[in-house]
Amino acid sequence: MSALLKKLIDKTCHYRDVVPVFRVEPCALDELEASALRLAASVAGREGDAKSRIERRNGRSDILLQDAVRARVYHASGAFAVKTGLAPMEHLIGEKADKEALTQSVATAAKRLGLDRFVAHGEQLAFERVWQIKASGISGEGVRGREVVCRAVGAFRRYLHDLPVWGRASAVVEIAGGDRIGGVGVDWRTVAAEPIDRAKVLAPEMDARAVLNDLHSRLPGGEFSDDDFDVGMFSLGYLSLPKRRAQSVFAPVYVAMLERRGWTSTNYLIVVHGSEKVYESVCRPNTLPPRDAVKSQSGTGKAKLPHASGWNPLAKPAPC
Amino acid sequence: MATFGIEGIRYFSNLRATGLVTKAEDLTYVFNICNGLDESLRDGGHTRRFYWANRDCWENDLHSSSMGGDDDSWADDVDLFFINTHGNNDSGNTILAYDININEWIGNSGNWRLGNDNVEWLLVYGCKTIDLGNPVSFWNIFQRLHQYCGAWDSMWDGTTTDEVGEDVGDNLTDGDTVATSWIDGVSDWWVDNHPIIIAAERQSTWNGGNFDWPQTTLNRDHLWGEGTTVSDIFPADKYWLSWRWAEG
Repeated sequence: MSALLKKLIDKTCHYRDVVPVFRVEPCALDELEASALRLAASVAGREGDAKSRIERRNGRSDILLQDAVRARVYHASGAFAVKTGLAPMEHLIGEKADKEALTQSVATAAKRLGLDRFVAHGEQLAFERVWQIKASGISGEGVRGREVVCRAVGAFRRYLHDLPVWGRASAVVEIAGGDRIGGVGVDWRTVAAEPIDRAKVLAPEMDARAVLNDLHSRLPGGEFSDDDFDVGMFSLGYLSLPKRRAQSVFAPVYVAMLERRGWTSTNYLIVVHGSEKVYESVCRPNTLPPRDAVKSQSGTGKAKLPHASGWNPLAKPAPC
Repeated sequence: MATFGIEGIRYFSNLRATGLVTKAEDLTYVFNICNGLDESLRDGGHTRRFYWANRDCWENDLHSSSMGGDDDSWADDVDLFFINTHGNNDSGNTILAYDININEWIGNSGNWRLGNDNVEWLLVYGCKTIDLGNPVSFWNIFQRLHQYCGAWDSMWDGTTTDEVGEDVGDNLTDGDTVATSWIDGVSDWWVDNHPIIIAAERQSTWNGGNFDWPQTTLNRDHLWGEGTTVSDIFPADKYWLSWRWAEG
């Protein structure tokens, strides 16, 4: 057994033998928009008297409220996001922000906005992580200014019958200085109360091998060594697909987070089916560049010929 | 409205074969990201000047024309230039991987001088392009360039980040600032994409290091036609660099 395979298996979490499979309930567009509008009005502090306008196009609805507050609903998933339009460098939190205090603030904001309204029987919404958006500056002479915390973003994770629903954060709240709300996002596909099936889960080793096969396909003709990746996570769970993609079931998947070590350092998130029976593909198809972007003679298609270069990669850049 | 150019490199077999980076693995969702940005910006009324893929993306395209490259024809000939490839950092300079040797396999920001022709915004979806401990190393690339959007550590290639191009484009065309568009657009608030933006600033906002943040490029700059776009800062008027980043 390779060390990387062992690393994956050792990181297995949330494993169980059998996982219920749920149908994702379709939701009427009017209801989605109404739900987003309620949240947006709540963010704007205008419950009951929010004046709004809705525009539907390109698989989404844009809801515009007063005071630059706006919401977007993604028709395929029902996910929505509310933004209050705060300028990024105004209403700053301050120079020194205690992470625990920020965690408390985002949790309080989530509660105030009633984000638990989406939680049904058998579900939970749990705090996952607080992100900080910071800023600073440096003069041309190398004098550094003060660092400031601009925003805190609280990310929350949905659990369905104690299994995480992986994917983008299930709910996020962005707060600015004075606990103002900067934005809210919700990615919550409602599921039927009763499962449509109970799926027997594949052994972690089998799916860890599938993950490694997927990973190795990125290096045709070569091989990664065991030191090329660390395993951040290998978890059984459900997956909520990207917000512009429709989904009909929540079935078990294994999600691997592989952190690259080397000259290239792109990390990979690989998802494989967690049960023998495949209820719905979780593969995200690759797209190709548009036809007019590809020239018939690769590498020679550009209209202009390159200039010859006298560049020495080891030379220090010349001062401007 | 803005003009833009896009480059995306998914395959690196030729780079691997050189032995320079033997394990430069192929990426997965490059064109999901590039196409998403392309479609979103064009849907918003902006004009694509070029979109190059794989071996049609050249180191020369970002390399300053004044230093032997051809950026005046490509990256510096549009208002917004986006590239998705493998990235890294070398002594404070961004380095980018290419799959063709025109004129180098590995690009280096030491040779970038951007904005002297046109470009206002440089967006790079690639890892570790900006050293958070040494952002002043990018001083010379700001030749009227407004902002450089990159990453201060690794980025992710996966099913939850394949829509980031569209998200960035939607933000830019919804009236968000460039700085907000980048951080919000490339973040799914689950995997850590380490977004960062560096902006050129004037002396009037330095204020002894107690910055006048509301008047900064970082706070005010929008894509052409989508809100206020700050005026170019000529090299002689460039006094400091601001940066804004997300960390978890």
